[in-house]
This record gives sequence, C-alpha cells and structure tokens, in this order.
Amino acid sequence: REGTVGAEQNCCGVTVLPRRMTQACHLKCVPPHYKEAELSKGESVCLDRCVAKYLDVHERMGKKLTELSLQDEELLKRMQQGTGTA
Amino acid sequence: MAGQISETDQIKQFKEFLGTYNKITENCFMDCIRDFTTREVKPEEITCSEHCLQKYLKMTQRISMRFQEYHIQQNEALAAKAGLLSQPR
Repeated sequence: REGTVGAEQNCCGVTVLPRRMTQACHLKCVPPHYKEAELSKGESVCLDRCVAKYLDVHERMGKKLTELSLQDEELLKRMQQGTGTA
Repeated sequence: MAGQISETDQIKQFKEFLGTYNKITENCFMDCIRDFTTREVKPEEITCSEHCLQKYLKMTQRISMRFQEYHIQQNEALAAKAGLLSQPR
C-alpha cells in the first residue's frame, strides 16, 4: 500500500520538470494569437522537437553538474589534506 | 484491484488542477485581454480566451504524451542494459 508511484512522483522533480518544460515550450512554440482552438501542424511539430531538446539539455546539464560538483569535492579534499599535513 | 485513490493523492490531484486552472487564467488573460477602456469582456476577447484555453490543454496533453514516450524509451534502454549485465542462470 506504500505508494511507490507516489514516491516516484515526489522524487527527482518528476512534477517540476514537466511543468517547467511545458512553460518553456509554450513560450517557444505557441505564439499568443489564438485565432483557432487547435494546435497548428507547425506548433505541434515544434512542441515535439521542443520536448526532445529540453529533455536532452536537461540530461546533459545533470551530467555536467555532477561532474563539476565532483571536481569541487576533489579540490576541497586536496586542499584540506594539504592544510592537514602542513 | 481497488480503483480508489488515497485521500492524499486526491488532494494532490486537486492542487495540481487548481495550479493549472490559475496558470491558464493568468496566461490567457495576459495574451487575450487588452482593452481596459471598459469593464466588459469584449466578444473577441472571449473567443480568444476560449481558444487559448483549448489550445493550452491540447498543448499540455501533447507534451505529456511525448514526455511519457521519453520515459518509456529510457526504461527500455535501462532494461536492455540490465539484461545485458545480468547473466541468466
């Protein structure tokens, strides 16, 4: 009964990511004209591409961020070791 | 399997709905309502906001769909990796 689905939804920005992605792709792909209620073909294609690109960038950022923070940790460790032995 | 949603989940869903509702209102208001020489909402503004709402909902549905597809792809890739790594006995 412990909702594993609920836990997934709370973890790791599963709700934050789609929200921000929706905002971003809305701005990028749907001009505020609203002459029609339907999404045009161009808007639909743009949205598909936008989602793909957003998720790609999100993944790259995540990897890079991890890499950079590991580097920072390493640097800190070395500094601390340096002052320790001094 | 009981189709009952727990109360906390229901509250979450409702909060989500309220958030979306307010977001759409703000969004479509900003995009469609331009005439402040009157208190009345003009017919063009009504049409615009109705279209805006429908378009927004279709957009979120589409994005949701693509996002789920992405997740499924990711899971399949992970499963494939796991399948390659674990040696079947």
